[in-house]
Amino acid sequence: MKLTKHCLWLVLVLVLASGSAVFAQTIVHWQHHSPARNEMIEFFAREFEAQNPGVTIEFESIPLADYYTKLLPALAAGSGPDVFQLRSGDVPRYKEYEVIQALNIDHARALEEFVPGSYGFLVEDGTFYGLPTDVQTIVLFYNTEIFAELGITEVPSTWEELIETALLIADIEDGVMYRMGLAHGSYGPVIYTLMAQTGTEFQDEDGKVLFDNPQGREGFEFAVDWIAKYGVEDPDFGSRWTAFREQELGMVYAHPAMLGSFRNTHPDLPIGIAEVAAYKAGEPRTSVMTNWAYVASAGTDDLDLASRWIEFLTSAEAQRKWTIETGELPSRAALINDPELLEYEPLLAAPLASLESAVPYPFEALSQMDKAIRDAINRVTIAGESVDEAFEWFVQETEKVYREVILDEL
Amino acid sequence: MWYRFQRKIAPYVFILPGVLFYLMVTFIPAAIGIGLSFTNWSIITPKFDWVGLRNYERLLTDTLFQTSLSNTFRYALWLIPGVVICSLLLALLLNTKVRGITFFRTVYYLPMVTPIAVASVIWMWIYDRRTGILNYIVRLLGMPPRNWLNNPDTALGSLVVMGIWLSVGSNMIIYLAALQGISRSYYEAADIDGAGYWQRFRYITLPLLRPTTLFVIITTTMGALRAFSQMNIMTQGGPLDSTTTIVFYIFKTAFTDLRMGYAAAVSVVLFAITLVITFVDWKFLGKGVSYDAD
Amino acid sequence: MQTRHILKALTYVALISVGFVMLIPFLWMVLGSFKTAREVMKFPPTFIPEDPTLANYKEVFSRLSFGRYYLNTIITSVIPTIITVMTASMAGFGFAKYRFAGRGVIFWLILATMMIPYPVTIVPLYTMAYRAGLVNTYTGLIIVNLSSAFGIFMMRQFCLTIPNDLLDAARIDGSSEFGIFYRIIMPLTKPALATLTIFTFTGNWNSYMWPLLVVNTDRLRTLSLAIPLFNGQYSSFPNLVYAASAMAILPVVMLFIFNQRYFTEGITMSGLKE
Repeated sequence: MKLTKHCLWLVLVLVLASGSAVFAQTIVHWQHHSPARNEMIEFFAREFEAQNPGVTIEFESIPLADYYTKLLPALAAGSGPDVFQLRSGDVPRYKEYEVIQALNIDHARALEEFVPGSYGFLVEDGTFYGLPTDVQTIVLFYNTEIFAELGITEVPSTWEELIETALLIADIEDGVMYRMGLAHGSYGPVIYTLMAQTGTEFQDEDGKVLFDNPQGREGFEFAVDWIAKYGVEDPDFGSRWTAFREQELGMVYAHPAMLGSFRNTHPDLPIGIAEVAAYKAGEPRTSVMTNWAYVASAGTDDLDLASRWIEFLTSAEAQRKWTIETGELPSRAALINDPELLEYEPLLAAPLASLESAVPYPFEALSQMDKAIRDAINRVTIAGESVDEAFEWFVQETEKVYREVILDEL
Repeated sequence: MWYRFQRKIAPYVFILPGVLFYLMVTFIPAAIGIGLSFTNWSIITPKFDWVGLRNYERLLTDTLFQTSLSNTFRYALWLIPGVVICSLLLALLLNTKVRGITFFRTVYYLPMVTPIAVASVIWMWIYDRRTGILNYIVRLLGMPPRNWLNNPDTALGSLVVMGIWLSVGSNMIIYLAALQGISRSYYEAADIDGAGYWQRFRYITLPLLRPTTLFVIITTTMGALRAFSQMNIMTQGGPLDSTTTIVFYIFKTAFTDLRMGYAAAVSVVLFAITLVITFVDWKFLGKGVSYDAD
Repeated sequence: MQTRHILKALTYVALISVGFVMLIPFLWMVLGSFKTAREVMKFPPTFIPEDPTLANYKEVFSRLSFGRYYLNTIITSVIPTIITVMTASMAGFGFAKYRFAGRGVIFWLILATMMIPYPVTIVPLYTMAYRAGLVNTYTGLIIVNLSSAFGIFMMRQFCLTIPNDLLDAARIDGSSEFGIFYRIIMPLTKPALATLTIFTFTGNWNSYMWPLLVVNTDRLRTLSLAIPLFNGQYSSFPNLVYAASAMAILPVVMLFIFNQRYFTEGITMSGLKE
């Protein structure tokens, strides 16, 4: 009696299991974590599941610092996710290693609808290997209270004005800094923004350095000068984010997403946001764009479904919600002047506008090149090398990174 | 007959589970790891080529590898004596029938349970240029404050101090356990002979602590040569590579640069160095008073 | 008499000042867990919370299934700790007190595998676990921690300090080899066993890298995996991290305190005949 009952249960379970195996499809989705993003993806997953019966999104959110540490062994073992995030500069290499595959989407339409700066690394011969997400440009955050206090009415729009304003704000007595004027924190995307504004190019497709010219050098020297010549930034002053929060820093070049971070802890901080200052009056206010891409694993069972999920996540409606909740910029051109976004957060005007003139991060190997430029600046400000020596070192380091990381030469 | 058989077979039975469970999860990965050093494997693809000794040839001209090796040695040379001396001293102090031994032992153990990410935040504040405690003290002493973690001259030393803080508690507990295990009869005998404190320490305590000291030195050395977490969290190997240790370099090479084959070659070199140092320790410190099987 | 008092006082001064240095970071974390997000980022920092609040603890519990993480962490710490203490103490005894063919080779093999840095071994190990179907299972979390080179080595060193005469005497009394281990070695190495237990437990409790790779669902998440989840690329909440960390390490501290008794119960109490 008992046995038959058990058997019946077993049969029932088996039938259910096999039945669901026929209809059920699962997409395993991995991406790096923040509390707001986590909630957003959960929300989109439920929505996508409702639209596509039988589909389950299995979502795993991984701290950014450990994201690649978890992703790489999984890819190596073949247990990786179906859909995941990569830094856009990584896409060409992963494509070459045949870890990811071309998406099954309308490529021509995607070329029109996404902001050009966001897909530089994602497209090859008109084919998308990933769709852009988590877009960041560089914008100028300034403290409106400090501006008002010092009678500064114009937000600086050229390098010259930028330094003038910074010198006005900086408060230095007997060589001790009490308030910084302006800060870049030797952060790669900011320094490359300055270099890009001079009109230099960076590297050609064969890894040849193109910025070893007076323009490139001028951009680099300008970054060094904030610290070494004008003294408006002081690396000994501590974290620039803390300084900006405590109103001990007037202006900082930063990713727009910092807005959300400031608002979280200091809701009453008097923040203004403008596009970065141009090299000279009339020149474009170019900044460097960094972003991630959603890609489909080469091993995914259903490329069509994976592509649809990626398109769903990067649709205009999804990106609008995403920007509001996470502070990360959209990659769709249609949202640049989106009234709903601007109504929700008027300060988004400058970040959204910056999308149009932004250029992609100039190198594939982002973390290596962020370190290289930081070292180059430290060589001047800490080790006391001349700008020429440090710049020369940086040129060679760029070539070395390309040889070792991109070409994987032995 | 049974007795002799039992005695022959017993050691294998004793070591079998421990050795098996350990080697089961370490031996094959370690062997594969060594094998990888002869390939150009990039981690994310199943494909790779055998490249013979080319990774090792590259090491000879890799300046960052040499820098990281010298950083690691300097870190270890300061850390190891610091940890051994401090933990032994603390254990001796705690063993002198003071009150509150339970309390102190718990307090000294806390660095080991505090998550390293949290501990790092606090140490970064201690070393902060403007408001850190360290610069406060330095100013009181009439010396100029420094940016401890952002200066190539002081960054590694700052991490050594934190490293000692991290591991002194656990080693002190090991020493304490060893001190508790020394039979009181030895000291009683020494008392009868009229030996003073120093003589008792020199001729009874220290020799009997020898196996423990060997253990502490070897494990601390291994830990120092593999230092990674603080460098990863607090300095990212900087400024100007002054805190890039060998494991930090291995980690970056494997997981950021995707050059697993090369990272494996660096690992093999570190492995060889560790093995040699451990062997030397063993030869010099492993002898003396201990009751090995006869 | 006078100098003895001075020495004692100096001892306390040394112990307390070192203890203070050891304690500060821990205190900082606990106090930080009662601060608001704004205060915790304040510069210059405050030590004592200006406006203590329990909100962080509530938030940690409401955002994550912390109870489940406790359960997972207990399962994946207690089982390996019990097994490791047994396997390591037996193996340590075996290596210390017997001569047998292959002793040196096996022991050095264990030491040697301990010296290969994990970045190169973790990928093959993960691949093995995946092929064996152990990814995303409790077994996968536990299986790598059933023995420890550190433990074997430590127990070997402690066993070395036990006189051989003791073992021979037991043998003459007719004790079996296992009886020697159980009735002589175990009681005599109690402080070492207590040390090994707490070290192994702490290591398992805080272990991060392996669970990070093996766990793919919230159902199996351990406490150490949950703590970084309060931070993102641009936003961080140290107050929540401190609250979560404080709760996460509480059981370890408790175990340590309750374990104290065994630390001091050494050779002196076990009725050594010598």
